[in-house]
Amino acid sequence: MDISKRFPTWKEITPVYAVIVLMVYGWTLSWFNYTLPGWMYFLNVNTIVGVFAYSMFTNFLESLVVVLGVVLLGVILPRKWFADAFVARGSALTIFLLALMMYIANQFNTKEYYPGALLHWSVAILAAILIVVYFLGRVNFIRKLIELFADRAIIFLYISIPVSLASIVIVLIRNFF
Amino acid sequence: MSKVSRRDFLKLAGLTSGALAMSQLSPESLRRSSNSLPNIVIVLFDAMTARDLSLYGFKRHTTPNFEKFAQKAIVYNAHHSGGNFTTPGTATLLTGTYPWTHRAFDIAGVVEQDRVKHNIFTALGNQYHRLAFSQNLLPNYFFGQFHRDIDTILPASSFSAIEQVHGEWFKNDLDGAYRSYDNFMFQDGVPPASLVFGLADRILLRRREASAHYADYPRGLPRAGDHPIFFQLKDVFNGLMATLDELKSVNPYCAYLHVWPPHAPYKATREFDSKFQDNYHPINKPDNRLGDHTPNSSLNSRRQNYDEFIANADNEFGRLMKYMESNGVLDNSYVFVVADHGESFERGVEGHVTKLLYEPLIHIPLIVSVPGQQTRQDIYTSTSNADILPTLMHLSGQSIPDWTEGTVLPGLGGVVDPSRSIFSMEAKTNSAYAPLTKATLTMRKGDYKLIYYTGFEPQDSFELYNLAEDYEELNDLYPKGPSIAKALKDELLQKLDSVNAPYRRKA
Repeated sequence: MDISKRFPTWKEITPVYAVIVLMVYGWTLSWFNYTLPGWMYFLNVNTIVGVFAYSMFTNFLESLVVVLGVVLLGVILPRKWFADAFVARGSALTIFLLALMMYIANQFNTKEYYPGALLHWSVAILAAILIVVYFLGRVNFIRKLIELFADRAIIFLYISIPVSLASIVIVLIRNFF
Repeated sequence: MSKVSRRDFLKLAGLTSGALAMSQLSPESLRRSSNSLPNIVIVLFDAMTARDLSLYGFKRHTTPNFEKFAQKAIVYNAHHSGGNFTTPGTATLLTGTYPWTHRAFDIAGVVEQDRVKHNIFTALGNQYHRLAFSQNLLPNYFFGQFHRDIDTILPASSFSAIEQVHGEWFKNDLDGAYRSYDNFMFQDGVPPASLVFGLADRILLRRREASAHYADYPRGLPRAGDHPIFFQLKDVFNGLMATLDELKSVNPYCAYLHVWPPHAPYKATREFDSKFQDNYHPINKPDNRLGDHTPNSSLNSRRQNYDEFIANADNEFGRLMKYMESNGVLDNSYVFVVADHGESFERGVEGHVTKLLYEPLIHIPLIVSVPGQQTRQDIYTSTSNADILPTLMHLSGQSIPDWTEGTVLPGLGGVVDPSRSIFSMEAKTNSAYAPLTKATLTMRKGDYKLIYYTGFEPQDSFELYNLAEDYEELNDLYPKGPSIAKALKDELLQKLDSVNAPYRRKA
C-alpha cells in the first residue's frame, strides 16, 4: 500500500490550516490586545514588538503541530471515516477541539485550578467529538457550509504567514545578533 | 538543623539543575583571575522587612543566625528600600538610583533605556567576574537588560525542585523571552495566551505539582509567586554554596544572589511551621483608607506564617554563613545581606501590593561583613539601597559615578550626613514615560518621615512622623502643622518637580 496516497492534498490541507490559524492566532491576539494597554505604561515599542514576535513565532509552531495532528488522523483513520471529507471533517474537528481547549484554558484563572474531572473524561469527549465530526461530514449541507467557511478563512493566511515569517526573523535577530 | 557535610552538599548540588547552570562559567571568564580586589557577595532576601527580625528588636526570635552574623559585621538600623515591591526595590539597588530616575515602576517594569548602562555590573567593570542569580523572575528582566556586562547569569529555576520556566531557553534575549513566555504566553494565574502549548504546559505543571510530595513541607513546597518554580530552601542554599565554591577560581568576583524567601507563599519546613504559636499580639493599627481592610485576625495569622518562613530562611542563612566562614569567603569578601522591600501586616494590608509606604514595607535589613571584621558596629543614620552601588565603587577603588543618587555607606568609607534625605516610592499605576502624578512618596530626613499621597484621591495628602519618638507611626504630626512639616513638604515637592521636568517636556 502506498502511504503517500493516503495524505490529503495541499489544496485540502490549506483551508483546514486556515481555520487552525484563525483560532490559535486569534486566541493569542485577543490576549495580546487585552494586555497591550498595560504594557504601554512601561515598555518601549522595541520590547512590545519582541513580545509580539515571540507570540507569533509560537503560534506558528502551534498551528503546525495541530495541522500535523489532523493530517495524521486523516492518514491513520479509514478513508471513509475522515479523509473522504477532509476539509469539512478536519475543520470541524479543529473547531470543536480548539473550542474545548479554549474553554479549559479559560478555567485556569488561579494557580490552584486543575481540570481533573474534565481531563478524566477527555478520551470520551474526544471520541464524542470524532463521532460528531464523522456525521457532520455526511450531512451535505453542513459539509458544504464548513468547507465554505474554511475556504473563506484562507484569507487570514495572507496575513499570518508573512507576519509569522517576519516574527521568526525578529526572534532570530534578537537571539543571534 | 540537620548537618550536611561538604561532600553531601556537593553531591546534592550535582543533582540539581544548579549544577547545570554553573557549568555556564565560561573558560574565558575563568581565566580572569587576578588582583587583590575584595570579592563582593550580595545575598538578598525578597520581601524581608527589618521590622520582623529579632536582629532589629522584634519580639519573636526569628533571626538567631543573622544576629550571630551581625556580631562581626556592620548593622544598618535605618536602611530603606527604594520601593515597596521587587521591581523598583531591586532596580534601586542595582542602579544606585531612585525609581523616579530608573523608571521601573510597574510589576514587570524595566530600567529606562537611556540608563541601562547605569548598573552595578557595568560600573564594577570586567575586572570583576560578575554573577547574577534571582529566584524571582522580575530582576531577571534587568539581568536581560544588563546581560552584556554580566559574565554569568544563573537561570531563575536553578536549584529548584519543579520548574517550567521557558524564557531561559533564549540566553541572548532573556528580557524579551521571559517577558513573552513566562509573563505572557505561559503565565500562570490567568488563562494561558498560548492555546496549545500553554494549555499543555499548564496541565503538566499541575500534574507535577500534585505528584510532588516533600515530607519536610507540611503545607507544600514554596513557590516563586506566579512563576512555575517550586523549591526546597535547603537546595537553594546548597546551590548558593556550590556557586560560591565555583567562584573561588575567579577572584575577584561580584555575586548577586537574590533568593525568594521570605516572600509569600510563606511555606516553612516542618521544623519551623507552627514555631511561633505564641501569645505575641502586635499593636492594632487603624486601617488606612488606601489599604485593603483585611481584618487583624487574618493579618496576625499570616504574620505568624511569615515569621516562621523568616526563621526558616535564617536557619538556611546560618548554614551559608558557616560555609562562608569555613571556606574563607568572609576573609576576602564584603558580604552584604539585604532585602529589596519589606512586608506589611498592619492597617488592613497584607503583603506588599499596596499604595502604602509605612515602615514595615520599606524598612529593610542591611548587614555588611567586612573582610576580617571581628566586632559589631551599628549605624543608626538613614541609608538607602541606592547607596550600595556607590559603596561598591568605593570599595573596589573606583570613582563614584555622578549619575548615582546614593552615597557611600557610613562605616564603609562614607560619612554620616544628618541633612541628607532618603526617598522611597510606589507608582505602579503611573506610566514610566510620564511625570509622577499618581504615586506615594516618602522622604526620610533625620528622625522625620514625610509621606505624600498624590493622584489617588481628589486631594493630595501628607503624613508626618517622628520615628525616634513614634516607631510605630501612630501619631501623625502633619495636621498639627509643625514648621518641619512645611520644610520637608517644600523639599519633597521641589525634588519631585525637578525629577518630573524631563518627562513633562517629553509629554
